Amino acid sequence: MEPTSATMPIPVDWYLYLSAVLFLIGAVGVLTRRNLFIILFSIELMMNAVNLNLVGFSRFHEDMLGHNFVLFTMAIAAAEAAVGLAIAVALFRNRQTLMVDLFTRMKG
Amino acid sequence: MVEKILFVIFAVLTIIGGLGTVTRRNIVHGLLFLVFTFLNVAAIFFLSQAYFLAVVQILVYAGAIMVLFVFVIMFLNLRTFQQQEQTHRRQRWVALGLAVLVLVEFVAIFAGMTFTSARAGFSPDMVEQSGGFTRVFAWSLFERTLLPLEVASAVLLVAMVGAILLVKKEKGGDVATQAWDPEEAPPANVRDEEV
Amino acid sequence: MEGYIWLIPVLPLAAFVITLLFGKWWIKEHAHWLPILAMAGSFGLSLAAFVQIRGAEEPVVVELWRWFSVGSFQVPLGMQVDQLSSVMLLVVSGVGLVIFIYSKGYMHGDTGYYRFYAYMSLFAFSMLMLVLANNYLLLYFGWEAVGLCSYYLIGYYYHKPEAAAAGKKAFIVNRVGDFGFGLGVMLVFVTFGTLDYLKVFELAEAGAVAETTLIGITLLLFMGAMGKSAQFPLHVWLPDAMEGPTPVSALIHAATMVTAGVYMVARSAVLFASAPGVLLVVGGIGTFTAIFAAVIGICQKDIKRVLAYSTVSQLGYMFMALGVGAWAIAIFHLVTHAFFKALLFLGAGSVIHALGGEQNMDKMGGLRKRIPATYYTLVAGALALSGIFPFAGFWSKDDILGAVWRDGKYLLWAVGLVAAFITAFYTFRMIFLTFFGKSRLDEDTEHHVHESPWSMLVPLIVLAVASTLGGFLGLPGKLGLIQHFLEPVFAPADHILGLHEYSLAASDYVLMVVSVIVAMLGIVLAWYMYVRRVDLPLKVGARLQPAYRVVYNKFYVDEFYAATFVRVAVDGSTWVWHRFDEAVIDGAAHGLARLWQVLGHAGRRLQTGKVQHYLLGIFVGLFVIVTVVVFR
Repeated sequence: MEPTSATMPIPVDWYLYLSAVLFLIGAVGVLTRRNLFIILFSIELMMNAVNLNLVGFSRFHEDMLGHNFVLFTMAIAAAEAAVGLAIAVALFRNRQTLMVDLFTRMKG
Repeated sequence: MVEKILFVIFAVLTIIGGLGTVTRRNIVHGLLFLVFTFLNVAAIFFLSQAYFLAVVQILVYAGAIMVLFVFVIMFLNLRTFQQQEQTHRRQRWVALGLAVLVLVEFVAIFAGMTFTSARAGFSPDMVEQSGGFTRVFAWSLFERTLLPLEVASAVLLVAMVGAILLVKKEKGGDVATQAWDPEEAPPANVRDEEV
Repeated sequence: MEGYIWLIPVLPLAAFVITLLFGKWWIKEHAHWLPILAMAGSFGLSLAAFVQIRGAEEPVVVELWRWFSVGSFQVPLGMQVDQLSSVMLLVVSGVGLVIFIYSKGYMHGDTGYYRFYAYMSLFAFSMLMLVLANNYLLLYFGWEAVGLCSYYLIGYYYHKPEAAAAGKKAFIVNRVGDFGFGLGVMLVFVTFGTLDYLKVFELAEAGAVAETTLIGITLLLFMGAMGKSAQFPLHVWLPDAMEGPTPVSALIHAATMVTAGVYMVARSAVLFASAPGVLLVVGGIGTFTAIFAAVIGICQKDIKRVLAYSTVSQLGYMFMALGVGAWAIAIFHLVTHAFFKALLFLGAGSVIHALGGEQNMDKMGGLRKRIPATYYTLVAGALALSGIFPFAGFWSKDDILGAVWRDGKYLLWAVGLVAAFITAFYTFRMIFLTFFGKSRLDEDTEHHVHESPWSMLVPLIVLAVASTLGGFLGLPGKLGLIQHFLEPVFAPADHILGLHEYSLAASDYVLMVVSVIVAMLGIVLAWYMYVRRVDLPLKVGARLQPAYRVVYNKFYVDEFYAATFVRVAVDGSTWVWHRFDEAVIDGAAHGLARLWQVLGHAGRRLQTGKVQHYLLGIFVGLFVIVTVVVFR
């Protein structure tokens, strides 16, 4: 098969710009929101930004390894969601709140 | 060309979804925006020849994981938090400013780079010879990343056990409740500390 | 003798260890038995050693083991018994035994009973080691150890500030002398290459050492003797040492420890004899101290302080004797002094005991009939101290004056004679104030007066007998038993000085008569002033007001020291304390602590406990890294 730029309709740097924007939206969400759930959402956003990059470059390099890693990311995201939600439940039971800045037991 | 236009449309929608996710006061709204974002990402996956991943994204991510979220949110009844301050007062401006700066840096970096490759995506011929995208994906997965796959499965198992342990109620009361003095637990409507 | 010598000091040491370890909870009020038995054992062994050494030409040296050896510096733990040390052994263990027995009655019921006996035993051990040592370092060990015990026992009533201060004073003043003594010992080693008595004396006798070096050595050694034996100007600690219990004053500060200086000089007789001029210094300081302390003794009101100054004065006599090379006579006076001064102290203790702790003679008087046994024994001691024929003090003191006369030091002789007069005067002033005249007792003590128990009276009687008859040990001239006995030890020194045995001449008898008459005059004057015309002392005191005040304040020696040495030390230390210790050392330590405290406070702000703050830090880090890496 012949490598031609015509068969590559979407430039790879577009993926980079998109994922950068999405990642930073997630980062700002993690850094500024007080609600534990929104923070978990934001983490999911950041992971998807990474996934976008992986897929884009996977195509760019014609290599399936990127796709494989997206699958792993999803697996980790699922694990993180499960544990994170469990922690959220436990915390909520004990402190009746989910505002993370109130959890300052270890304050110096 | 069509692909490019579609990519731009879905990218814009993705960003809108992301912004909606982090800005909503109501968690359920935020969650719905997140699902919306995921769907758009799945669409971009389709455009990028990642058909299997797009399906997995919709089924597992937007489906299963998000349903778990919804379940927990409904389970906990978190409406009360909507009346409270949603962001850290001072930190939000710092974070926002930094984010913009980092974005500018990223853009500056990306603009300065030229990406050249010997290849240009998966050609239909090659995919056909290999027996389809999913087959190629699976071949790569089990041939080259077998160990990481097994590790990922173990991680999932551990996470599942851990999650069960965390939320499980012990006999005669919650272990965590005993560790935390209930007297010290601040009421839900406590005025947030200045941040 | 070699077999049991080591037991002499070890017995009291064992008594000390056992009494100290088990005294408080177990032995308690029975603490006296073990030390008394140990002391009796030591006395018996000393007696055996005395008998065996009599007439021996060579001293017996036992080296138990090597204490340490560094290069050519060998120090054995060796004991040397010759005539001199056997006499000292007898005095220390004999007088010690008597005083130990006496203490049973005197200290009875005291809370620190076991402590008293423990330290007394430790003292006995140290003193016996000092006497038995066969080299200067071991002597130094004993020397310091007796000083330590002296400190413990002066401060025995440690809850009394004066006692604690007196203990400290004794220790510090002794340090001054010991500093010189230590230097002297070092110089001995540097010069002779050994510390062993016999080798050192042999080398010195052979004239192997320059005279100037010997002068340095002997002056330094004598400095130690001045401190330990309370010679002017280091005498100030001894009167204050009377804060200790009376048996301590008797044993340590009269009979034994303070004579260590005399013993040491006598032991080093060869060195002193070989160093020209030093003997004159020794004799001069001794004579001056004799009269100086005697004058102070006139005005003292505290019965024990009178005796303390008399001790200083008598020690001056001993150094006077040493100063004219009359070694044996000095030791003779040491022995008789041990008897009668121990007797006087114990008698004074008996008086104090009878009066329930009263020591001021202004508040005594008329006790003659009420405590007769104490009275008679004390008078025997006073007669001995005054030098009345035939009491012990007469023979020894007269021997000293005779020796000084024969040596041609007529000035010293005259001063000594005056001091003898004053001695007789203040001694009997004490007797008359205490036992004669009207009672000046307080109401409370008036009913309390009682004769002491037998455990106290028996030692008094024993010592009274010794004080009365002890003088016949040392009749003058060829008749002197003790002089003959000590001859093997002092022969080399006498040889260096060119002294020979002398025969009694007519002048000697004249001198004896003169000194007795002088002493009698002193007694008569005391009787006249304190019994016949009781108003006279006040009148004389008023007439001689300035002189009286100077003497009463002990010639302001203490004040002089306080204004000079003590003040310099205190001010200098205070300056160093504030300027260096507080400012620099503490400042550095506190400054460091403060620095970390400030940093910690600053760093504490970062630890808000809020996860998102930490995350923001990560994000800032990301930004910085990207900026640095890419836009470098």
